[in-house]
Amino acid sequence: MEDRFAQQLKKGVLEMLVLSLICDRPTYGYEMLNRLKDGSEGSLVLKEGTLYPILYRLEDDGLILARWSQGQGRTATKKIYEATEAGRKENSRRQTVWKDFTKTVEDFIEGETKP
Amino acid sequence: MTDAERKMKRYVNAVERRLNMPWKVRARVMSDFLSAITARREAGQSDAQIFEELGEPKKAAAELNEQMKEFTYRKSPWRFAFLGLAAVAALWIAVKKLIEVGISLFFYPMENGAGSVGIIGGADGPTAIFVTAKTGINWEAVVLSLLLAVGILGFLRLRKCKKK
Repeated sequence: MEDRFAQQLKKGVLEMLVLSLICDRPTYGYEMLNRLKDGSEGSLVLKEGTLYPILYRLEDDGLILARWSQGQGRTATKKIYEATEAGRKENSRRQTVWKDFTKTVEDFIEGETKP
Repeated sequence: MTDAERKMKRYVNAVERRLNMPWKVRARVMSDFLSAITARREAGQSDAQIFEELGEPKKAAAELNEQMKEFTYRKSPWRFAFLGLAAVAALWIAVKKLIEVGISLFFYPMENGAGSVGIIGGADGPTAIFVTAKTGINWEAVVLSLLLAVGILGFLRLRKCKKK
């Protein structure tokens, strides 16, 4: 059982990470789950039900769009998410906020632990 | 449709039936859920592996309901007050109708319903006009119908979801 602090942190950054994945390239749910798992070396293992509310919030806020992909060759039709212009701007903004925040926290911890 | 397709369809339908969400959210979830199955198949998973990974319909739906709490029905306890109102109105209408049918069966066995009462009234000119004027609008039926409608609509309205 993972501790509550780590869970809360994950919950807080998931929306940013999902938006970042979609800004990188149009993608679908299952691929996002795999990219999160592989990119975090197994520490971000999500279930479908955890991902869907994040996607719907982003979609309702106009940051991403859902469309049906055209099945080609051996691939069938799937629901694909892609970023809007507003989504790309918001992604950059969130990443800046995140970097500033982590730097502040790291500086604070280092300053506190110095003799 | 092959057996495998039929089995998958049954599985998807069983999950959908158990989702405690407004139909719009449910449709949204199911489109993603179907895409997830398609993507797993394309990744080389067998249907048995997919069922194993997503879980039994009951479990899969319970997980979706649990993780999507902000989209599930709010279910205000007041909805039962409206359901009660509708039930009382419906019962009232049913009991009245039963009594009317009972009276016509036991007390007027030779006459056949309201039509024959009308003919009797019609024979007596002024009375007939009086009776017709009095029964132009059946206020009791109007009030009961309104109560029934308010009760049913109130019950359905209070099942709305938290997030629009």
